[in-house]
Amino acid sequence: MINKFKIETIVNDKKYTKIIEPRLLASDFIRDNLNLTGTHVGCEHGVCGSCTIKIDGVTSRSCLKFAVQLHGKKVETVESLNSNPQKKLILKTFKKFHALQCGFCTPGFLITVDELIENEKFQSENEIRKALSGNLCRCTGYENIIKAVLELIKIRNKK
Amino acid sequence: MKPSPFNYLNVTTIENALDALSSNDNARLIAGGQSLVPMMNFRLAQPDLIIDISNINELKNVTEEKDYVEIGSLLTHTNAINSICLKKYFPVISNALKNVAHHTIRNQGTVGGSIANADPASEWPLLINLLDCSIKVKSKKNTREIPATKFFESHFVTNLKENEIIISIKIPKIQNLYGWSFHEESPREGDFAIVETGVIIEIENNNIIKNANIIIGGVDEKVIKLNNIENFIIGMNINEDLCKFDEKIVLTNIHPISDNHSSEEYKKHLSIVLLKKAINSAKKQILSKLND
Repeated sequence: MINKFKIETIVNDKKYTKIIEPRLLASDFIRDNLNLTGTHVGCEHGVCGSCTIKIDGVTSRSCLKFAVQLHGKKVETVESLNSNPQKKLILKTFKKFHALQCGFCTPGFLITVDELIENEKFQSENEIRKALSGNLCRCTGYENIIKAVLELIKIRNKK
Repeated sequence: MKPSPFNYLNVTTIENALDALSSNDNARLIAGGQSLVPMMNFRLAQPDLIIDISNINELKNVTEEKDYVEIGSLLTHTNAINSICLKKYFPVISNALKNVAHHTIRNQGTVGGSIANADPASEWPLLINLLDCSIKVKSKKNTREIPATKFFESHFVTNLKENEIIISIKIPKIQNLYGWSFHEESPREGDFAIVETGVIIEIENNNIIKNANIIIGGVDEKVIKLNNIENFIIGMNINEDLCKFDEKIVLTNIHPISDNHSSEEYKKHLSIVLLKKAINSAKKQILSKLND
């Protein structure tokens, strides 16, 4: 007998209450139960990075968390980047540098980059390449993504 | 690619976790879930009950005592890398942990999870041996401390009993002047190590090597402490050539197996190369400390 759980979670500043089974992955919950389909599901075992979200301000693979674990937590998905001008700049800069082609991996990159530019620790190209090595992109060859992030870091450092 | 059905229990105290663990047969603890959930998604692991310990806040601390530093088992790799206390006493930890998977995985994965998983090619098991740590575990009736050398038994097998939870890791402070190094070779950034080596060399006032810890991972069923090499360099002067040891004494102590990435021969060759590199960089660090 598997119990269902009632969870309350805040996703992109909106409160949701849902009844779910424990085995539901956070990635499927976000896409299928909340209809936030910006988060993409790729490998489902933590390798590709497409499903990256933020839980309580820290990035996490949503395919390696269960929806039930989101109870009482604050979640941000790629849709949250539309919410304020500073975060929208990430989207604009990716567009400017053509840092995407098919776009499948892009939501994961955007959320990861959002965390990187919040953190003063990330400065050099080498550090950025290492930090983004957990996100796989099969189209761009990464160069334009790195250029976009370096530009974002330059803008951040000026502030 | 979806886990099989299971029940879920969120606990906020160690006592509640121990109660649940002892009264359910096929239960698994989840901390960061970065190894367990992939296994569940592949259905290689099919627990009946998941006990979520990730919200037990008392297991997330770094505490400094006079002779040792104690870290809670739920400390994430990212928080261990950023800990000022760990950086001060054991800079090798942040250096090695930067090789644990990727940034986002390090945000969630924990030290306790990593050592309970006991992958012989991962970084924490090597560090636990390198730093002579002891592992504090608790069951409903008993608390015990397991020394590093006894904790890891084989591939994914530890001394931990089914009803026990890892509470913390005690890392003794190093009293003498010492040098450290960590080297790892992997196919790509963030991949599992093909070979990893860690070295700590301690010297006395007269520049004689008093103690040495030389550890190698990825080349056997568990992380290997190379006692023969340690004994070879203990008693030598730090200025001597420390890498004149017979390579055979390394090769008889490790048993790598060929896989898709690298052959047995390559792993043996790499073991020798990385060991010498690691010993020499620890030595170099001591020499530069002596010149300061």
